[in-house]
Amino acid sequence: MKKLFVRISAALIASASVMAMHAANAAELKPGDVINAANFDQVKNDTFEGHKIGDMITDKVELLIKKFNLSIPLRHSEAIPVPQQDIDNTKKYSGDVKIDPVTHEVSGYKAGTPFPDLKIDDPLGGFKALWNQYYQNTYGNTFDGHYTFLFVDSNRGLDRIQRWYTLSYKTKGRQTGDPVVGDGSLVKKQLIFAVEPYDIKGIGVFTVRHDSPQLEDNWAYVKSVRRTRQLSGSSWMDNLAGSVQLNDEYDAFAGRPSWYPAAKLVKKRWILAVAHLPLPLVADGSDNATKYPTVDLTDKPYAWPTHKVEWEPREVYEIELTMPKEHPYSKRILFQDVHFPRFYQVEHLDKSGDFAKMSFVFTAPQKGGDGIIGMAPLQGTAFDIKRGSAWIYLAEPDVTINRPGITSDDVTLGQLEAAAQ
Amino acid sequence: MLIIRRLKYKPSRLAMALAAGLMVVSSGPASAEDFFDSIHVGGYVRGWASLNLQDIPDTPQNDRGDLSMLRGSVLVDTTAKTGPVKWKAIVRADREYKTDFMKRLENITKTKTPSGPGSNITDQYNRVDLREFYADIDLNSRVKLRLGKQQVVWGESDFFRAMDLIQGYDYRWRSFLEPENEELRKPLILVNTMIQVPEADGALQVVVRPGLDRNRDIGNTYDLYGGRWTPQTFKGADFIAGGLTMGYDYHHPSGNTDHVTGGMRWTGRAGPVTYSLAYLKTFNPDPIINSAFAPYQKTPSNPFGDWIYPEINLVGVTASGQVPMIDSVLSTEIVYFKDAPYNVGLATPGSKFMPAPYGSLNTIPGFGGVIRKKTVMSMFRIDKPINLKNMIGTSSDSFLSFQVFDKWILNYKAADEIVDMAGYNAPKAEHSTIVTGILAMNFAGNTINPTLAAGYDLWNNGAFLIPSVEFVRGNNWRLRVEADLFFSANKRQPSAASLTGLSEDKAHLFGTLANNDQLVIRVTRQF
Repeated sequence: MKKLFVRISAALIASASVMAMHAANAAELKPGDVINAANFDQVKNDTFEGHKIGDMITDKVELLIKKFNLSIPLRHSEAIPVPQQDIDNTKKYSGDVKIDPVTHEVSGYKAGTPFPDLKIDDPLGGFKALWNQYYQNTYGNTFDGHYTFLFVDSNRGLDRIQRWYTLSYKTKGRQTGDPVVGDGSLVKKQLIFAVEPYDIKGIGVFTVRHDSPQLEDNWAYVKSVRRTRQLSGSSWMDNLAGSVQLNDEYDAFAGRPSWYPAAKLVKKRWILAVAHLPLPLVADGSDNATKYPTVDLTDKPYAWPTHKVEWEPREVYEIELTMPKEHPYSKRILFQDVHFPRFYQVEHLDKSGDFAKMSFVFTAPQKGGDGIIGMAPLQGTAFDIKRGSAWIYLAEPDVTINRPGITSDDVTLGQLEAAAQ
Repeated sequence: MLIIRRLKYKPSRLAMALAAGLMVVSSGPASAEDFFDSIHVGGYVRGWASLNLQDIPDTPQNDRGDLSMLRGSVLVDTTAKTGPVKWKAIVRADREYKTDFMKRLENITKTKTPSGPGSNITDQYNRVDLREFYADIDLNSRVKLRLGKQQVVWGESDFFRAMDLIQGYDYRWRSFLEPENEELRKPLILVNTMIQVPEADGALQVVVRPGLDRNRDIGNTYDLYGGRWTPQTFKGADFIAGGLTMGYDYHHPSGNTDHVTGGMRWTGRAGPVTYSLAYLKTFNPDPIINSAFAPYQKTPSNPFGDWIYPEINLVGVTASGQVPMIDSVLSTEIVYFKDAPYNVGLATPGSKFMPAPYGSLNTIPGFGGVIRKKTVMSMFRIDKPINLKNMIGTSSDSFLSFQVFDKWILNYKAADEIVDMAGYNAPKAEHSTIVTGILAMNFAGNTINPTLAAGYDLWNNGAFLIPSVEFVRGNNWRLRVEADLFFSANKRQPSAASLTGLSEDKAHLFGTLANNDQLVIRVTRQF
């Protein structure tokens, strides 16, 4: 009760202070101010870092603020430098990259940003933005560590917790060394193992992503029968582990761009996004607030970040993606940083065109094992409005970009079985 | 050498302790703090209750609705690390309450075949086992050794086993029905070497079983003790009552558990196909009878004969690949057995093994000796994800799988009088073919998971149907409800003739499971 009182008081004080400051006219908000349902209409015409609040908040985010208790603490934005290796690779290789205007497939890619100069009036601009993320992303050559998954019922709260270990190895688009490992037919390889709870512990999946329109190859090691079984790659539209996130939403967007019929680069704009997440996200503790300090598991809908997580203005490309007819959604609106291919937000529309789900990706610049700065997907939320469920992932402290010593040989089908316990 | 020779005749735990000691030495120094920090313990406490859905004719009472199993298990799975060595230990303790139904079976056993292990039937179920205990050592980035008691599974087939013959299974307490077959498999002490060969897009696995296991860890163990999964009409009869009926001979010339066995497997990828090639020397998974009336290589020591596990040699190949055009994964497994053993002798007119008149003890079907035949087991399967979300509201794609499994005796001759199962007068056909299917669905965010499994014997008109549903509650609680339903056109009837197997000459695999329908509830609290 005391906690509730403190929380309500804080919200009222925050709202009151914002309202008092900007009683009648537009004003500049300051870091620490919180945008929430109580004050949104009062602050929407105000500015932060010179950008109008209402312009930085999409109508879908506004709905989440007003109807689903999302609140957004502000912080000043910080420039995030693009690694020099990416700049050099882009200069060196991007001139060789071509996109087929009919198939939307890309040829000639080796490393760096394949399409560094996106133009809003380019009819292929949407696909080019997607390819930039597909090939380059922002998390180096390798990326490994443990993740905690939280399965949330938006009425009842935290339902289940899973822990997984992942190891992702890029075979194309590598920042350092040879830009391409192998014969160039692959984009990346990935191993994932379940760690907890006990009934899924030991389940492993090995995925090979081809650099062609063909489906990914997937093999699962099923611990309960101690055997590996090949799976259909068509599961890319399926739900991830029964959660509300689909497999093609890994790090916001994980499908091959040419699998989607249309992608439009709508405009450049500003949004509020989380690009400087406070770490750690998972800690030792006896209660959820201690263990998961950046997730609000106390208040409905139990899906949003706590006020430790602050949002900052980021300039982004808005991309409208049309989904294949067999896909559960009809459209997605994605928001990608204009300086590097990092998605922060995805809005999912169902087959009726209604807003069905929101995905947020929260990240932070992190020095990799080789000293290069990268931005991994560290925390994310997929909140399904219609199902009333959310799925949250949290990077544990061991998640590392470009960990020294990892080679292509560490990410193979043989290792899937050899590493399984 | 002396130590090794002595170990071969000592209990496996001693061998494992030595192996463990060697591993500790080889692992180099590691601080106690690091060791304790690395320890991770998981596992479960689990309870089962199963009810007979049918009256079992082997008993005079109506058994329908009676508890056939009330069982509890605790499994503790521990991992730890010492220097570069990773350790794994799994201990499982099982206890059963002797239900009234089981008491009835036991009393019949005590009357029919006293003094055998079946006369205290819960001894077959109450166990404390160190199921797995092994060390993982990365010799370098490509070579990994797994030393100790472990499970190694080869092959692709569901329900049946062609290449998955390194270990046997314990079918006594749950037949083949426990969904996690790792719980039924009998781990062995193995030297398991896995060598990655990325240049060839594959890996070589060499498995050597030094012969240090306990005798009982070899091959499949069936309920031959008169318990709830003893084949129909034989419930209440103990076929391991040494001195009265039969017993195991683990040191037969054709199959000696002290012998070194093992094999190697290459797993690789060729274009879109994942394949494996394997050779294995192992023990015949099912025990066969060394009949007292027609001894095979050695005179048995029990009145009717001994159960033996002859050694066999096999080569096999598996392949699987994705076929996007039909959105499916196709798989196959083909295994050639050079010398599969079968029991022979049919109580039919003109039998060269069974002297008429039939019905005497020396004319029990299958007690006419042993024949070795070249045999091919093959499996073809299609796995297909299907989207039932809009139709019935599943939360993930559903999994549909159909499999055909065939056992083909090469150079088959009816005159060989091979029996399908010893004690049953049904001849084994050239082909034994069973079609199976699985439909697995998920609802409510994969927290309600129904599955339908079915199988049909193409030539003998028998089938099984297993509908089940598992409920996932939070991180810790799991509830499974399952029905095990069996159908058979031909089954043995309890009668005087049943003892000698003559009451039905068409009772094949599903005939042995007749009248055994069960409803099972399983509750798990995992940690």
